[in-house]
Order: sequence, then C-alpha cells, then structure tokens
Amino acid sequence: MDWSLVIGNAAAELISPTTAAYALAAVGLAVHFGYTGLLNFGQAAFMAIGAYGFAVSVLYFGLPFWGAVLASLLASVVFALILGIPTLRLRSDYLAIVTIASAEILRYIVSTTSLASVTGGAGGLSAFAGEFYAMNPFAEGTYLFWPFDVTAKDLWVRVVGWSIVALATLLVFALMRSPWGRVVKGIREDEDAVRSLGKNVYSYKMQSLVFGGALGTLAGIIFILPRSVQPGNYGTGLTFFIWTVMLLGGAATILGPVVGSMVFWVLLSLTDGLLQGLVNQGVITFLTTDQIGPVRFILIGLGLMALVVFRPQGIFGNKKELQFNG
Amino acid sequence: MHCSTRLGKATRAVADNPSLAAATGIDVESIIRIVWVVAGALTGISGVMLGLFVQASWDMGFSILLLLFAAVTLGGLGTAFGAAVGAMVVGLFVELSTLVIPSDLKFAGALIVLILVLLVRPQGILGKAQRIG
Repeated sequence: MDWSLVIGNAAAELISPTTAAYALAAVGLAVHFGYTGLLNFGQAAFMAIGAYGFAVSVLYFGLPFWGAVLASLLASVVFALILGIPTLRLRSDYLAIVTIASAEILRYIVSTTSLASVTGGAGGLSAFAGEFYAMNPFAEGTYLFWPFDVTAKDLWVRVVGWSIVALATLLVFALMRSPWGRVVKGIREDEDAVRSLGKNVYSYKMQSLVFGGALGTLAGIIFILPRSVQPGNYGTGLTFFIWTVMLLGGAATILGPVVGSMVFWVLLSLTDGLLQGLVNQGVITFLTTDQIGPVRFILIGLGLMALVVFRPQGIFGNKKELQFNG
Repeated sequence: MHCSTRLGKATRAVADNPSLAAATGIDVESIIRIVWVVAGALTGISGVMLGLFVQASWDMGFSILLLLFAAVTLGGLGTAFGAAVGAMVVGLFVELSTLVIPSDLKFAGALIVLILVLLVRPQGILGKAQRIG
C-alpha cells in the first residue's frame, strides 16, 4: 500500500473547497440549531439555492459574477421567509418537517424534465465559473508544498473559500457576543422567558433563519465553483452530512463546524484509501473495491452514533451548554 | 387504545412534559421503550404490506418517508385517526395531481399542500389547537 498517497490524499482534504463549503454550511446550521435552537433539516435546500441561484443567474439570465452571488443570496432570504412565516410560531417539530419537505420540493423542481431548459434537469449545469476564474490573481504554476500542492486555479478557489469561512466564523463569533446573540441563545434555552422580557421571539428566530440560510447559500456557491451542479447532490443526505459535521465539532461552538468538516472529510478520505489498499493487497477478502464507497458511509454512520452516545457535545462542545432540547 | 387505556394516557403525559410525568410516578423510560416497540412493529407490518404490491428495494422506505411526514402533519400530530385521514388525502393527491402537473413533480405537489395546510390550519385536519404553540 502506498502510504504517502493515502495520507497525502487525506491531508489534501484539509484545505479542499468541499471541506470549506461543508464548514460554512455547518456554521450556518450552528446559527440555526446550536444558537437559536431551530431544527433546520433543509440546509441542503439553502445550498441548492446557492448552487442553482448562481449557475442559473450566470447561464440563463447572463448576470455577472457579483450579480449572480447577490441574486442567490436574495433567493435564499426569500426562501427563508417562506419557510419561517408559517412555522416559526409553531412548535419546533413543525419547522423540522417543513424544512425537510421544502428541501425535497426544491430538489424535485430543479431535477424535473419540464424545467430542463433552465436548470439542466437531471444532468445539472456546468461551465458557469469562467468569470470567477478570470479574476484569479495567481500566475500559472504550482503552489504550496506536499501534500497541499495545487495549481493556480485550485489555489484561487481555496483562498476565496477559506477566506469566506474565516469571515463567517468571525462574524458569528462577534454576533454571539452581542446583545442579539444573547437573545437568540435565550430563545434556545427558554422561549417563554425571553418573550416575557418583551423580545419579539418570532422576529429574532426569523433573523437567525435568514442569516444561517445565507451562510448555507454562500456554501452552496463555494461548493459548485470547482465542479458542476448536480441535482442528486442536494438530497437529504447532504443535510445529514452537514448535521454530522456540526455535531462532530460541537453544535454551539465557533470553531466546531470548521474542525468538524475537516475531520469528516479527512476520515472519509482516509477510510477510503485504507480500505482500497487493504482490499487490493488481499488483506480484506470479503469486500470488492466497488463496495468500499458505501462501506465507508456505514462506518461514518456508526461513528456518528458512537459520537452522540459517548460525546454528545462534540469535539469542542461544552456539556453544560447542551442541556437544551431542540 | 391511545385515547382510553392507562398506557395511552401515560404516553400523552410523557409527550406533553416528561419531567412532570416522571414526578407523578410514570416510568418515562419504559413508556418511551414501549412506544418505540409498538411504533416499530406497526411500521414493520406496513413494510410487509407495501412489499406485497410494490417491488421491494433498499430505498423503498426512504422514498415514502417524507410523504409519511406530510400525512401525519396534514391529519394532525398526536391523533391516530388524523394520521389515517392525512394518509388518504396525501395518497389521493399524489396520484390525482399527475393529471395537472408533470409526474416527476407529483411528490413535490403533496409537500406543497403540506406547507399550505400548515399556513391556514397548523394543527392539521383533526388535530387539537392547544398542541401547536
């Protein structure tokens, strides 16, 4: 087994744009669930809005890069309002049902054949990031050191992606120390108590939903910049991966989602490389290389269960802060 | 049974407020265990029945999961009859809506109905209004 290849691939995941996108989406989810106590099971929908909002704006409406980013952010605000208006006054389980349902609605709509001229149907969309790469300030060549050596194009995506992650985490850090953050944390602990202090709980919940959703949308844009848009990516599986990432790091922590995302992707890559190597060398005889993909997700699922049982607060979490129930 | 037996009453008490239920002498953990066993058994039977007339596959449960959520919420969370009524409404709607909208959007149609019902009558068709707040 080629150890340097296995470890190199795993380490490269540390800074990959996919990791950044998952981290950003998990930061948004941490604003929803970790800080405000909103059970959002539709983070994949916000990412889909980022991805499709951006790609459709560029390809179909011919908007420039910044226009497309703004358009998808606007779409995500509208989407969050649509989700929030009927459900945020009700018990938290209603929001959970409506978010997961609307995420699926969105996925059906973008993959339907009757809209294929706009959304590309099941085939998705590609070749929309030209303007983004045209802004690349790095000259051609190879940058950084093993195992992070990347081309100028890859470096540009990574720099932009991780800068946005850093800005978003700083913003969330500042927000949660502000009076606004104290109110939403109060809502998580006891909604009625906050209401009796004269705060408009509904409005604060709505602001939190919109803000976390906007982070999810930015994550969706980062996610698609290095690849094409595929409707199959935005199923409930994506939502649950983001939940895994957030719970792994710690729900109500600043750095938790970022580190959780790194751990998640490094582990996925590492288990893949190790299992591939072991099967190829004949150490594991009861699996074929085709079966490794699903098997590593089984392992991740088991790991998540073990995490919830043995360390429910995540890597960074504070057990005292986790006494709330959704 | 959910409405009339001691177990049903205890279950509703736990759903409403676990710590208060525990304080009145209800064994919350065992109630939760019984509920999981009964719900799992009912779902198992429904899996057998579904397998009788559609092709069994590993993701057959996942494809109807959201429609189940829709059915339960539509009928009213916390009512067994509501779930049955909601299931009929969703089932009929999904199949009849293909007359108007493309068939690959038929599940989306049912989920949109769910959201609309929550807008105008959040407790569902048969649910009680005090549960939703």
